[in-house]
Amino acid sequence: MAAPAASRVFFAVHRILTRNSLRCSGHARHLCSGEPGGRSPADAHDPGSLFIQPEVQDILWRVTGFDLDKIFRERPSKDLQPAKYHLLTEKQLQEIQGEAVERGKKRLQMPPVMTCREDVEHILSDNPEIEGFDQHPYVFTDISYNLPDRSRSIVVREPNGKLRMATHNERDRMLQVYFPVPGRMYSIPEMFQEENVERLLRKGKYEYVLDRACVQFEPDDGSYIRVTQRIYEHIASVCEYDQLRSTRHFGGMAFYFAYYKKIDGLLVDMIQRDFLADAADLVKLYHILHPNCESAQQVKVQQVKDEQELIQLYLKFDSHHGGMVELALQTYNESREQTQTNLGN
Amino acid sequence: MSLAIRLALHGCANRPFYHIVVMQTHRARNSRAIEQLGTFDPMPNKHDEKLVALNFDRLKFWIAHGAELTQPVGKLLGLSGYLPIHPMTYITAKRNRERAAAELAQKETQSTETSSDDNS
Repeated sequence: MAAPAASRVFFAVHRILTRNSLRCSGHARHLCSGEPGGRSPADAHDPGSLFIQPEVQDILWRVTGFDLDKIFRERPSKDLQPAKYHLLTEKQLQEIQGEAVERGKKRLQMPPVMTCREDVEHILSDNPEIEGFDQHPYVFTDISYNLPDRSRSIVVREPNGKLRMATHNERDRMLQVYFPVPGRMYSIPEMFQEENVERLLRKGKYEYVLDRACVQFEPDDGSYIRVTQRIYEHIASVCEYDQLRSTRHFGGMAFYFAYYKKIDGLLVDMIQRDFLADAADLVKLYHILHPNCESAQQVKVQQVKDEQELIQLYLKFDSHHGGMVELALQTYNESREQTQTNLGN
Repeated sequence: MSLAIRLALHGCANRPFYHIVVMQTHRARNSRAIEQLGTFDPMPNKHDEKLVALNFDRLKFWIAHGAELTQPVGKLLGLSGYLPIHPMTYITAKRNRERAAAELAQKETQSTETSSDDNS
């Protein structure tokens, strides 16, 4: 093999390979087809970039709640340790509690919401003269160290001589072969098939399915978006929002409802559970995601700060089921008055 | 010390599997390699693909150190787009195409013969 002659070429080709893979992975601007929200592409701004805005993250973090008992509840696990008991001073106890809070915060880190990725056919070179060199395609994976998975170049040589970038499906499989993620399966588990997801939802295993989807899929995978959104829809239909509170999935759910303008059910739930600040936060999130809606404009004009007023404005202009939320708000106010009078007596 | 980047046959009976390794040219095929650069699985998986994995960083390093590529490795690198396509790949491709065309022609003549037999 004439190495010196070839060496001039391969640096250039390798550079192209790496650059193209970068461009390919950063692609996909459109929303997934078949999303229940039904926004037209014209007014659809990228949910991924909205989600990572600091003010959105702040709101989602606050709305999630922080119930240590729920975060550290017992879960089925293979490595269960017997409880340890220590005798501590007050100061040591506080330190340990602080550590536990930090650990809890880590556990509540939200999985990112991203736009659905799409396969774009990207042909690197077409050599019809080697058509038929083999009956099977060859998949080449660069396993160099210290490369982020998303910019790893993976290419396929088809039997007809075309050299192309691997599709997302192929990429995922190759990465799982050469760089396995613990807990992720090489082939997608059957529980993520539509009928099986439905069965699990009927049993109410929302967190279980969401956790496993988190491990199995990349956050911009169409299947991940399909499964999570189906679960959020189901939770909304049976009003079991509280199941996800103080878990890492609550933020994603709240974002989903706000993005697709379906926050009424969640608002009612929050008001009924005495989380009025959360309800106001949710309306604020709605206004950030939809700055052109009527109530957002009104809030700007009137400089509204009060929580109840904020919700009232939303009810007046943008709510689909205003009556429901209004009723919840009324009962909330009445019960508060009652407790106040009771206290006064 | 002349170095070669070459395939070392691993796997077991009826199941070939290759390591792509850097080794001295005179050493035996499966003797201890200086470094393993990747793998090549010549049996198509259930998605009908043949898998090649290569550490291109180290490959570049060893080529720069004057390691020679053996023919099978040169062919793989040519297919991957890292090097120009190996001359032997063109020849095998041409032979395969010619063989396929010949087989097709033979089948056609056979089918016309049988149909003419039916007619008579």
